[in-house]
Amino acid sequence: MDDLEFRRTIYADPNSKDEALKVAAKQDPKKQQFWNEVKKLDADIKQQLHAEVPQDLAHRIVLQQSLQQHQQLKSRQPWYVAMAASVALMIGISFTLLNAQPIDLAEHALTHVNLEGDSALNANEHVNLQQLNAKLASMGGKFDDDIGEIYFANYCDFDQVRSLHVVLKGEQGRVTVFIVPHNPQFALKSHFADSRFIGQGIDIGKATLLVVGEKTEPLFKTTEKLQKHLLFSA
Amino acid sequence: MLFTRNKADSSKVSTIMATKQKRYETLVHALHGDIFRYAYWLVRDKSVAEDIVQETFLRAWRSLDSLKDEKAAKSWLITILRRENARRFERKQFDLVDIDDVSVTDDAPSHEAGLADNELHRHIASLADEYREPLVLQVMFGMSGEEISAQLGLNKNTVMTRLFRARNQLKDLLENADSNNQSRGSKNG
Repeated sequence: MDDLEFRRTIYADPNSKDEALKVAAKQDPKKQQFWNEVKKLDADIKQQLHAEVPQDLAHRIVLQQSLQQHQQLKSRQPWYVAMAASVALMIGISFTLLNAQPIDLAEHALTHVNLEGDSALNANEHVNLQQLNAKLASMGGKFDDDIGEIYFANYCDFDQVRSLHVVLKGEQGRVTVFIVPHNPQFALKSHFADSRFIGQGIDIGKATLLVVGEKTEPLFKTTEKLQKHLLFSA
Repeated sequence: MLFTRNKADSSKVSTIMATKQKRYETLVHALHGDIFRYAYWLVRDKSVAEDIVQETFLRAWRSLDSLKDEKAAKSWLITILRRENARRFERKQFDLVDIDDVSVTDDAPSHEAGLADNELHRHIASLADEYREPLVLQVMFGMSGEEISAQLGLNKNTVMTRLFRARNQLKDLLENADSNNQSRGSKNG
């Protein structure tokens, strides 16, 4: 084996197991020395190649894969999830549409009086005009004159609208009055009734007045009185 | 009937997933160091190398089922890594920017901190990619000429020639540096 070929072979692979190389190296100390030098160089190269690996790289790799996996699972929702979502959306839309239907105030007033039963009707809180006006003030209204005996006056939730629920002394018995701030969604009937009560509804601009009493009660008198004395600030 | 079968299927699926996950994590822990070092010598920049390694292992996860033999894992990952690196250059071609808009820095590896202090390290980095890559495969991974030629898709003679030239250049560079130092020394004396 000539010198050039020997060098080429060793440079290409210092760890070669080629028998011819070994024989040549044994016969020529210079060749052996060259081989040793190249092996030393290779050891140095190996040391330099051993770059430092960033800490936690393995964990970051696994983390990234888990995140992506999670992302993919999320995007691969089964069909029934999409179905459920669209049903929920439909329910939401229908609910909104149904809610947009006009609210029948008369019906609400009667239901309210019936459901409330006698707890408000039989109350005897002796509310004076000042106290009533204090409650009305939040709606921007006030009574400018005495409207007779007031048994009960309190806010109540009238179909999610805060309104004032008042029980007054009528001509014959007690009369329930609702003062409801105006809402375009409200549908108002001027006269209404059920098996026990009769009622009147009057739009007084900023608010709606609902007056409910027993069938025998001459409601118009109370209504007139209220209409006359109830004032709303601009 | 339908439901019981679904249940069995889904538990089977999750078992398969867990097995796959375990296999993947074993692979990551066993080989991320070697793959990172290989990437580093391919691109000579630690943060770029890290990006490529992350991308490589993500791709490996997606096609883990195609790896039949764990013994072939390293060369399989190297193949993915090289493809990933090639993609980086394809992308780079489209990232043309106006030279006035960016600060132009010399990002040659010799300027990277910690690299410049070793001469041999610098010389390895300065080798042409086609010489450095087979050298890394041979010295770092102990691959034979046949294995390198299979990995790089080159014929074996080409690989052996490149390995010879790689070492030959390194030796020359080191000897030149030595003689420069000597002449500087004699001038000083």
